Amino acid sequence: MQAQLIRRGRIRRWPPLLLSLALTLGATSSAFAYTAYVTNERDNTVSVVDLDKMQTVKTIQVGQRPRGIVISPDGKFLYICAGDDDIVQIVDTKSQQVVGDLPSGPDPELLALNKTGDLLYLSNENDALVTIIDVKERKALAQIPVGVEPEGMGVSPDGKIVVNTSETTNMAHFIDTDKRDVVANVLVDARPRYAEWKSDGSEVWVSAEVGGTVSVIDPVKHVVTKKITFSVPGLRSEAIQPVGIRFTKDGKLAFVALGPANRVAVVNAQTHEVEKYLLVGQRVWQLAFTPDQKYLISTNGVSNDISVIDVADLKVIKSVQVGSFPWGVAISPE
Amino acid sequence: MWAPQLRKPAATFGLAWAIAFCVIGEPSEAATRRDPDWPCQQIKVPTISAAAIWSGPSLEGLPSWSADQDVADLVERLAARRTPIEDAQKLIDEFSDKAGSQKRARLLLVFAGVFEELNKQRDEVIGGLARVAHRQAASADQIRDENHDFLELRSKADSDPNKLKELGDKLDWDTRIFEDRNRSITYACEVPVLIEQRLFAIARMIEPKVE
Repeated sequence: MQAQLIRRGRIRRWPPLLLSLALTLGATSSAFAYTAYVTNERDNTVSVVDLDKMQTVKTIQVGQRPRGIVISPDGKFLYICAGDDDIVQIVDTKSQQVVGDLPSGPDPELLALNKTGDLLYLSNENDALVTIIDVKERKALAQIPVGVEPEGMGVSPDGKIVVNTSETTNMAHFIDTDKRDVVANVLVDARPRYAEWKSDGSEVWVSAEVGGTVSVIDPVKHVVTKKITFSVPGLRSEAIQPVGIRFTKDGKLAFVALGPANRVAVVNAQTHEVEKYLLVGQRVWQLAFTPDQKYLISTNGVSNDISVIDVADLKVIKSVQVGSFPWGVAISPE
Repeated sequence: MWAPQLRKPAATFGLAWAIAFCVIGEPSEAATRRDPDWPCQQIKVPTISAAAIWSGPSLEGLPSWSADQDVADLVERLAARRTPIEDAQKLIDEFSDKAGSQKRARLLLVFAGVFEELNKQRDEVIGGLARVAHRQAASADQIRDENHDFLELRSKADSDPNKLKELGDKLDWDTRIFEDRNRSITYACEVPVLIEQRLFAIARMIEPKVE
């Protein structure tokens, strides 16, 4: 079969060999042509990492102390918490420049977008608030009081509930996104840092950095149904500080970043048993999958790099140097 | 050159007051929890455990790394911070190529040696920081006393202007030294982390060769 290419109003025929070559190359490049954007907390930049070349190809100057970062569903914009500037900055991924900001309220740290990409939920660490922002209008719609030092933000798959964690109050706050109010509080272990929903909405996992655990929460009954603990031979328990969490789309595996343990735990998301520990870089903070879930990226705050984990093989295959104190990571949808 | 007499006394009093009453003043809850041996903002990690940076074969029960002269030479070069980390991989590769049939065992010894040496360096830095922390605490005490004496003298209507100037200059000088040392501490506090980074980078270079 011969393919046709419409170009400048003309129809060209491609020979079969060339076509198959083009398809092969195209398939290869599309499978690896993802870009990772990494916030560097110390040097106020975002590293742009080409995941095909596995190297940093550009550094974007942003506001002070960038940490939380998300990308719009269409991949056109990054939203970055510049905590010490008290703003969320918008970066155009094409021009790779800051093109505006959002009224975040003071000291934004982590943020989450809803599926359609029009509402942003972020935690204001110093003011014990969660702010909801209309991204298109660039205005704050509401501020919801939560516990002391709010941090983790997780939007449910149906967008109806946002879970926020408060570091000092040690709670996961369930916020109804229509009512814009807290509808339930669940006590978890000390210093909860991150909340992540399973893709079927059946569980929310909350990591506790000081407690060293991950609480599995039933989001309907609002109770902790299981606490996952971690143990690495030779490491003191206080060196194990769970932070970022990610689930595979099929809900079978979870990955938990363990901070100064320098490891990512691989957890069976159905039995809640830890299956493996992967040594990544120093002070691992956050995690993000490539959209095809072939790779998982971890940010390593002390070794100043990101680690690339092959998800099928559960092996660390590469580390890529980025800026100083990498913290958050977002990956382009294509 | 710094000239203490050019500094405005008022500015010095303000800083001295801050040192005397805020830095080492009434012990707050946070201050009482503060480790007197640790003047850094970074979380103190007394020792690096091998498990934190290494998932290769155990380092327990190995023979002495220093008994193998080639191993000892490489350990010395890798542990020296003047050896750029970019050169470390080359040195390890060269050693590996020439290490013979006991290559894995000898490379494991190299890592054991680097681990021991860099932990030792780190201990020395942490010990040095503790000494500086104590010296700063003593300086802050001294500045508080000098500040008290200065304010007392100044409050007297018949105070000797020469004596007042002498006390002011001394306060100024000691405060300046205190500030300079604080700046040095900020830099020195980075050193333990730099050593950890180096150790981890070398672990990453050696581990794939001994697995």
